[in-house]
Amino acid sequence: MKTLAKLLQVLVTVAVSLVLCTGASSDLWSRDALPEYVIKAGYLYHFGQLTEWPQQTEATEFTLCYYGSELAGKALAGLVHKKINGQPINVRYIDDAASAKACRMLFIAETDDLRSKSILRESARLPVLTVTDSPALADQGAVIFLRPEGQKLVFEIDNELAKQAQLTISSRLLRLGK
Amino acid sequence: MAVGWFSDLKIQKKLVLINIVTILFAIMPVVVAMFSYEYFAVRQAVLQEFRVQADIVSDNAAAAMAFNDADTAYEALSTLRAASDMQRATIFLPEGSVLASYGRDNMAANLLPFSALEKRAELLTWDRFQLQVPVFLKDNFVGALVIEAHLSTFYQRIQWYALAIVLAAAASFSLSLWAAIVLKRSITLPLERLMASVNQVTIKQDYSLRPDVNSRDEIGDLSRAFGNMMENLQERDDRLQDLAFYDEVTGLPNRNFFKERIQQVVGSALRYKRRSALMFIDLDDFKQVNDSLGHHVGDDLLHVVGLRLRTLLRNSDLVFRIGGDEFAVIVEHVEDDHVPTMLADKIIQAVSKPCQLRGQTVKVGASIGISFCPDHARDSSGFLKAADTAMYAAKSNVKNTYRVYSDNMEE
Repeated sequence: MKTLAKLLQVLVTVAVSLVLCTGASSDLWSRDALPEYVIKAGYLYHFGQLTEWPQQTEATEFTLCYYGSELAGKALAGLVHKKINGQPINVRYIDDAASAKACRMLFIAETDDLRSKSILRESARLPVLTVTDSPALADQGAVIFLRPEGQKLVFEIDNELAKQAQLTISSRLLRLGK
Repeated sequence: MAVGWFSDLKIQKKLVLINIVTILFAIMPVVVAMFSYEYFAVRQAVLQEFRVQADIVSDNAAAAMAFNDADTAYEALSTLRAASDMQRATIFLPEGSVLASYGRDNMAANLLPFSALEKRAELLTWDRFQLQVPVFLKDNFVGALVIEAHLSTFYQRIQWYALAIVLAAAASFSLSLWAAIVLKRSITLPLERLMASVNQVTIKQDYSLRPDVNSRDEIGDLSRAFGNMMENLQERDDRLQDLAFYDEVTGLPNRNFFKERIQQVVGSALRYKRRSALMFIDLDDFKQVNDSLGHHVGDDLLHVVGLRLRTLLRNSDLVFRIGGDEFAVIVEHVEDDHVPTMLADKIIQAVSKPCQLRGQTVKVGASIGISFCPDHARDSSGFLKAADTAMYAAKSNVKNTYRVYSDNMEE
């Protein structure tokens, strides 16, 4: 398991380097899906940094859950060595609404199936920062919606939903949202 | 060399020069210290301002950098517009690409990072300051900000400060110089007065002049010492005058005095057409007294003769001892020829009266020759010669008599 993570990490690093060597963020999206998810993973990481969760005493790690595209999982694995608010990131795949309460952040990648909707609905009542990149879920209770705009990846933040979920999103992040 | 040049200066200039040098030595370190302190303090303050601005911008731009948001990053950079010295700023992403760039006055060329992006670095030249600040979002390195600022505000501030210091230094310099010049007068003025009175003494040859300096300092002492010295000089001069013009035995004016006086008498006799008479008196038998009774008695006799002559004469008449036993009398303003002849008679009577000297009765006689000016001569030597001739005529005739010069006395 560890070696796999290590391998993935190396892969991601190589991928990132490749992207950077081409020198542009322009045609990231069309070429390969993995670099796109690497970018998204970076975004998720920063979302985590710029959000405050209500006090959770027993939590010793930052659980980052995802559902949908396996590519997202591969990209997110690159975050495992990092920390958010001093807690190591733990990436976890979930496929039912009940598992959502263990998550701090939930990323629903490229899917809008029924299960994703029920997970999202369940998470809306919990202090979970929900992020999605599927347009169909944008208005289905996801706090942050990632979408490409021109050559860039932008995001929309629904701060009302965040407040309902007892999440405090940094003004710096809110200002960047579209 | 320099000291020689300095010692040739007048004291007034020396004092001023010393004051200038002293004041400069006193002011220069203060000026240098104040300026250096201000220079570094202001520079530190200005640089600190730049650092704070860079930190604010990087803080504002951190999130935008994390999300690769060029527009928001540029907005953050644009806040630098308020700081007039900020010239350029560029935000780099961790891998080195430019996210946003700002330039005052449409100068938008990107700055280059001058160190590893993760490192904070500063570059200070004489006119600009570059600062590279790594930017972190919650301890996560998200890129770097490089700014370039001009130091014009700094130089402006320093300029004003330098101007103020120079003005203050100039003011205190001129004040102390003014005070020094005023105080210096208390030294040089008495010196000048002392010098002036010394010059007066030299010019007028008058040793009775005294310097008018009464201060209690060294110059006062010098002036008093000078006054004392002049007093001594005057005393010595008077003494020399006495020795030169008076006879010690009789206290009468001597031959030197007589020679000067006779010139004046002849001069005024000719100029104002007043007649003057000259009598040569030679004591008869004086040599015998001197030889038999000794010089002391001889001198005493001369003294007595001198006294007797003086009591006979008017104040305006002058009697001289012109030789060993020779006396001369000048009588001015002679209107009547009988006046000098009567006087000659009285002199003969007075001189031939016996006198007691050291227990001895001593008796001498007097032979007198009289001449008149301008009647017998129109110059002093002729005047003298005429009286002398008349005197010898008297002596060769009968002793104890007088003769008035006449042309047939010529030998």
